[in-house]
Amino acid sequence: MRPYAVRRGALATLAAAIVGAGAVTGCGAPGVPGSGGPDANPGAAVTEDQALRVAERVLTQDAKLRSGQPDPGSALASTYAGEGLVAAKAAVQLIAAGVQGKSTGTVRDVKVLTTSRGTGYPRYILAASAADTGTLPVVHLLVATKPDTPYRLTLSAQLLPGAQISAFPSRDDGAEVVSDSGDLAIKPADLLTSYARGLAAKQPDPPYDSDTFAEQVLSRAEAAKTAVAAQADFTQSFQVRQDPVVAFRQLNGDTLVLGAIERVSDYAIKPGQQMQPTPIFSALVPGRSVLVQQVRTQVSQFVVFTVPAQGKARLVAATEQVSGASGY
Amino acid sequence: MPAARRPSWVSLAAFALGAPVLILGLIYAIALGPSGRVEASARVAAPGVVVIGEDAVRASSTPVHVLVRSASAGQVTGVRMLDGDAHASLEASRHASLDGVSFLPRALRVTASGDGPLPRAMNRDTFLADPMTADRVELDVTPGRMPQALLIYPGEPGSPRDDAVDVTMTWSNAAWFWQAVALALAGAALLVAGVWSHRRRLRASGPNREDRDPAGATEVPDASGAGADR
Repeated sequence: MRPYAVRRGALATLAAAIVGAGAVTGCGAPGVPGSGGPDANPGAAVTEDQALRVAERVLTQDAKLRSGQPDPGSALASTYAGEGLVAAKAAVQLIAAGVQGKSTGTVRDVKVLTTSRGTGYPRYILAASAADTGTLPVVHLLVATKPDTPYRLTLSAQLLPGAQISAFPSRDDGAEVVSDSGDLAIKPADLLTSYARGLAAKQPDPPYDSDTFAEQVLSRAEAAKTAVAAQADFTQSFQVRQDPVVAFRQLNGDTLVLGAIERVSDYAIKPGQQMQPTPIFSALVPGRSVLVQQVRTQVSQFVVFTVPAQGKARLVAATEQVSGASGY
Repeated sequence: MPAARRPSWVSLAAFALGAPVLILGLIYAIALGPSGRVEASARVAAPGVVVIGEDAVRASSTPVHVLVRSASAGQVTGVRMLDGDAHASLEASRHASLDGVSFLPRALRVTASGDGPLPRAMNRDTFLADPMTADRVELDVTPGRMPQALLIYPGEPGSPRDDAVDVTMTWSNAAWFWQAVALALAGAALLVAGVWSHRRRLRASGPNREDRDPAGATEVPDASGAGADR
């Protein structure tokens, strides 16, 4: 019995010393040299101040360009990206021609709603600002595609009356950018495709609630078709643009989906008929006094949806901008 | 040596563990001093463009104080960036990376890479805060979730110049000294436990010890020779 008793006592002392040393010196405890390893969740890629500074810079430049100030060279390309650049180029042209309203040149009440989580690229900043007209704020999506490329504006859409955007995780955490493989009720690209189909013609049981924006697009198409029936065959098509399509996970589990849909309106002018170009058409395609064969206009439609974990998606913000025209 | 007089595996383990723990604890306690301060430094040769990477910033979860001075006493610029952005922005530039800290030799691991000059204009959107330019740039960085780095170069923003820079990183935590003392004490306790265990083993098995239990003492034969136990 004695050797076992001796061994038990020594083992207890040994164990106590090891545990004591570990506890007191803190194996991996905060502060111990070598304890500062990386965190599994990298959080947001930008600080709150940094995100606000970037948003103010980009939105101020956007406001200046929309105020009719001449583009000092490459300002458009360094301010806008994706479909935002397509729309901005046309907007600047239309503003310069005096057929589209100017911005005041300043931006007010810039707020950062969230930033994308993780340090990889592309990185996003979702911001909001007061609108030039009306009381509803405008939602902006800024994107940085590479470390050497500054953030650029890729989408702006005005909040619809009565719509709300739910809160996002804390600024330090950043919002998870949800990919198509996420656990979504409907994938972002599928939602936008379905909405694009619904803009062309009402769909049975769409995955989104009806909204005034879609109703207006449909009714205006009907009105245009009727107005030009004697001179031209009118058709309209809708195409989801690949850039941007972004979805952020919100704090309550909902997802905010942002994207752009191009609306193409074609007028096939009937033989012997002719159409007068509109001021907008003339601003984009100067030198055409009469159109005799076909007319095409493109409009960039920027849309923002809230997609709940259960139930139908809801359009919360939308804005459109004439982005191109052609015809002869 | 008889098997019973050899140290048991418990004693051997206590010696084997206790001695290095004691030595390590003493080394750390002496190196840290009562203030628990660790200072590591390095001189980076010209052009003096340095990225203090996340591995160095996160060498401890304690905030690190970084001091950078130009070797020729000119101005130095420091920018806080994400580690990936800092390295990406210097990809085509000759620079040094401080990517680790050796606490006991108090040294910073420096790796030189790249070729070409520092870009005159960097993407300011990747700056976590406004750049800091002074004769001596001092920054306190608290390691957080963000993989932070510091990009440092001699000169002012937009007009870098070639020069060597001295980088000193300091961590202070008074608790470290006491932790080192505790480590040394734990090592000493292990050694004592090993010695005690061995002595108990000797006592339990060895013959002719003065402290032997009287009940087990060898009997002295009487004059008649009777009473012997064999």
